[in-house]
Amino acid sequence: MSCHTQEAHIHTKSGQLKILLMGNPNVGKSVVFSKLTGMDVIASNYTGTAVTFTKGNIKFQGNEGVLIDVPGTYSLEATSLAEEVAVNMLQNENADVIICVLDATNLERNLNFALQLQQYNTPIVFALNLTDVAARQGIKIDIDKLSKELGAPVVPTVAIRNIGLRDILKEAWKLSEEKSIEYNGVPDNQDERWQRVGRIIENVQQVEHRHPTFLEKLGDALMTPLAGIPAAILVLILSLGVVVGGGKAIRSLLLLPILNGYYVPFITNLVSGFVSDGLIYNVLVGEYGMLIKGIEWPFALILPYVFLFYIVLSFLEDSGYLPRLAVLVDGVLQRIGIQGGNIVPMIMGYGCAVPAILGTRAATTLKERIIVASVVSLAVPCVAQTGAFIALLGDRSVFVLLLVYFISLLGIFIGGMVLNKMLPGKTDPILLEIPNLLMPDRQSYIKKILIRTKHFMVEAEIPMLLGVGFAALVAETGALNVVGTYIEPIIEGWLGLPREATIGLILGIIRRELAVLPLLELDLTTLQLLVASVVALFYLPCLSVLGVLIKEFKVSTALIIGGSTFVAAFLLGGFINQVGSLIASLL
Amino acid sequence: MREGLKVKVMSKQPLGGPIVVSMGNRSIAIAKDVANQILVKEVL
Repeated sequence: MSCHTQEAHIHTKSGQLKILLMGNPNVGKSVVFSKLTGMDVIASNYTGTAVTFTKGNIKFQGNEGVLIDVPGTYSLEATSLAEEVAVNMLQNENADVIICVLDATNLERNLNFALQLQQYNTPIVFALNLTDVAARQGIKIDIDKLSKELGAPVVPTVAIRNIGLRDILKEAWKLSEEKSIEYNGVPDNQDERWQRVGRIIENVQQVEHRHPTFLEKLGDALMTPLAGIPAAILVLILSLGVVVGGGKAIRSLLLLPILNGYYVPFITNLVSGFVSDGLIYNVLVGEYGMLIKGIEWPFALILPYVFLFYIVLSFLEDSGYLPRLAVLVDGVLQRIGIQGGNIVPMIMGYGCAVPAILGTRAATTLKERIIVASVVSLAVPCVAQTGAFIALLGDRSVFVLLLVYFISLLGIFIGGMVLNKMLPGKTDPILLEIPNLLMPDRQSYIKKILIRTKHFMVEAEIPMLLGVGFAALVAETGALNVVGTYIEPIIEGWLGLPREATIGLILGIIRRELAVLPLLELDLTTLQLLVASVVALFYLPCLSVLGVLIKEFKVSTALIIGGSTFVAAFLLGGFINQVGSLIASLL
Repeated sequence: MREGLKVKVMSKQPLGGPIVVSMGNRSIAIAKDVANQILVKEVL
């Protein structure tokens, strides 16, 4: 998702300090990283946000360094891809210092990791993070005693509010003078290590008993089927209400009036002042005019849904709700060969398939990764395509809109079940930490929504403008008719769609929503709307998704996924058309 | 997991879903098959 993630060996300039940022998952490493480097990294309240490493430059009192955000791991035993990356970096990067982030609300498990890390003889600074949450939970930790026990500096921090971060760097530079360090009494085996952890905890930590807060009680209730399942349904309805209802309202009350009332007349007048009627005029402001559709489609039809979707998704992520949902759906997802935790990348797929496929790295088996990546590519519409579906179907047939999403769910399950039977390998049983349920931090929540929306607009606007320009050229020069003649038997015969629908199929290769949006300009029957939407839904994953599939898996895997979705789209679309036409002729 | 840690079952799921166990200060969802292999003994 971000352009600065990479996997090669990391080089530093001479005099630059190489610092590894490590720790258990979900302890705030990504927050520490973005605060120290000033870089935007997406952090969430669940494990495995950072599944690849990210590096950034830091400065401290005139000294320079490179900070490397290593994926969070529970141990250094390499049981998942993220853990392999961490162990690999620890062994091969020859870091000067490690900053190890510890979660003050869960010191015990974090210390187990800390003691494992000490076996590598690299100087470590410990950042005891989330000390504010720990204090609220009645947990008191004696920093001096902890520092003595570990034989290393311990800095209390509240990363999200910038507290303690300068002190970490100060300690890091101080420690970097010692190139290697031998920590005393590091246990060799697991049993000894846990015994030592127990002794340290007894010595440094005091927990005051207090009554659970409302959020704690709610967090516990959301994991029980009795309260959790109705709550999940409520969350789904509310989310849909915000995204679909809110998006439609913003579009029809605000954006379309501005566009049609002011922008279109303005730009048409402007262009006609320079260019007279003809090919160029039509390419610019005609039926598929670049300056009309190239603005209307991304800004007025898609952007409201993208923005609202990220408001909802970011809230669900930061509140810690998603792991609770994972617990509830695990039993069902096991039927398609994946464990509950994979609900997180699948939900992200409803935003964009690229981060969803990258997010499958947190899965522990290749089989699960391929199943999730395949069903997301096949049947999960991205938010831009959802916006396009709502624009196309919202006013004409809500029934078809619901049917398309039902078919999408069916596609996920049937696709998953088939892959589960076909693919060798096993599915690991679920083992998932449930974070505290909390209100998202306002500042980082807003920032996250803005980063994601901006990212989407940058990614979407240029391909969409080019796509629309291409569509205008093809339509205006008559090239569409030539192409249309060749594929007439498929488009008109098998799918029962007008020849002009071809343009969506051509543009759909670039972006998924572009397979749908050209249909807005056509006058289609209800059956044609359904057929065209289903074809667009299953049709090829867009170019960026194909790219990420190739990067994450083998070229052959990416081609098989792309080919299967292509064939599924035409088979199913044609089947619906043939059956629908047959029923219509009988009535 | 270590000796002396307080454990409590927080929830169980239908359809072969996991059980959620609180250990110390955290909750962890554990698949039924795995949970079946964990024996808890009372220590005084």
